[in-house]
Amino acid sequence: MSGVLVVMETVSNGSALHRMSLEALAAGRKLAAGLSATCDAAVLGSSPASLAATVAGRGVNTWAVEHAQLAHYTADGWSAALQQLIDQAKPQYIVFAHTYQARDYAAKLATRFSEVLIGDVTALRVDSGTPVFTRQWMQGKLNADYRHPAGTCFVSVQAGSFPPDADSSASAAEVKNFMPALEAAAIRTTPSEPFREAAQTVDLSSAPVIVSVGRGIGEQENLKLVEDLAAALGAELAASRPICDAGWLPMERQVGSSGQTVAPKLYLAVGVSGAIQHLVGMKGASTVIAINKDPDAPIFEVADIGVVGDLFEIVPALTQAILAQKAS
Amino acid sequence: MKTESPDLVLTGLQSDDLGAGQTGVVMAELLGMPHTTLALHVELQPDATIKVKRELEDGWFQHVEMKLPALLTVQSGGNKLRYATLMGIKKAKSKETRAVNAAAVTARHDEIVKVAPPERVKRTEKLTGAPAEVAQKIVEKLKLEVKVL
Repeated sequence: MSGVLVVMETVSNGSALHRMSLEALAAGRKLAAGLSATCDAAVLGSSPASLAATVAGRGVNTWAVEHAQLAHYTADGWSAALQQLIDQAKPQYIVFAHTYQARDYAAKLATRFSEVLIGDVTALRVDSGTPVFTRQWMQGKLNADYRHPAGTCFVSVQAGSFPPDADSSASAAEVKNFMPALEAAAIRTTPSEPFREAAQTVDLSSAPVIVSVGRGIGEQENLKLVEDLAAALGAELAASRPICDAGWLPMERQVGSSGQTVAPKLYLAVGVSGAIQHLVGMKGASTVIAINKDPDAPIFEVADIGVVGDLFEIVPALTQAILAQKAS
Repeated sequence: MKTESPDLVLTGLQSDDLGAGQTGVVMAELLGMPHTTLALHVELQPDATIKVKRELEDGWFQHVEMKLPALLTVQSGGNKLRYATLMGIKKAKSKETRAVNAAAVTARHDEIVKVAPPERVKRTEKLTGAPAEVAQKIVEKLKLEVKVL
């Protein structure tokens, strides 16, 4: 038993790789390099050959795991196929991107091996031959280092924690075919085609300035404060998940792992605590300004400029000051 | 849980503290039930089948159908929170509760070697003062450094 296997995820119709798969591949390569082990990849689908060849083009031996039952993702299909592949290939480490899909089945797959998933890993290093994986506790307030002394180790890596694999100059490696045995009856869920609720009218991803509001705003009536600030700045208004869950702002204004990913010139976070799920959606911003009453709020970990204080006093003062500046 | 033979098991998606998001997924495997994560709405169909609306990434959704018994992990936002009423809290005292012994926990496979606050990767400049002063300092930065004014 040795080596690293990276499970590459595809978009729902299997036509392209999920954007986070190359981050998982980078993490897998880093782990393998630290262990002086091999790094392989796997692509699952009903006709995975061409994507498997694309991955192999990066110099990684790649399994094309092929079966008609893998045309669409199901937890049962993916778990059964990968269980069989792992039984044959016997990797010691299995690396996933911590996507919604991996969250749906990676822990189930690990359970089949009487193992655990070390999920949402933000960093890894190899200390004298032993990998150490870091994951966040308490919404990012603490980092916990994990080891996995023996047996098969399942790890998923957080979005944005590893720069996407850039090694495409290597000579192409081998594509190996793997045909798992899957019974239609063993797949107990029937998924539909993905759909959207409504046409998206707000594209936060191209907004140069974003004012974002979080739970600290307290009441829906108080939103006017941040709306006025956004208007003064000529900014798009965004929000963290709880604000959209409450229906105070439409879901399309949500930034984070379940919403939009943004990279503005300025991200002004008002009353946003900075849960991991929010941070992954905005840590690409050039400048982050955070206003929050809690000095320990994780948002300050990513903020360039921080103000610890009462947003109900600071935000109106800031709106006034911006308007005064513009008028001068 | 096995002795209860439930038709439907609901868990949260993930906890606020460890954020592992695995309890429901692992339990479904151990109970031999189909499952889906990130459930927002569920409808009972004929033939003891449920149709679940689940959240995907980037604003997409999907319906998933499965036979009961099944397990769902629930995403926030699908339903309004329902807080306990005073009457409900009073009535709860007369409801039956049963204590069961957990089977001995087997040795864990992973090992936590260190827990510490994260090292700061970014130097945050803290602005202090009265609200009007802080506001003026931010405006200066927006004008001269961030250049959005």
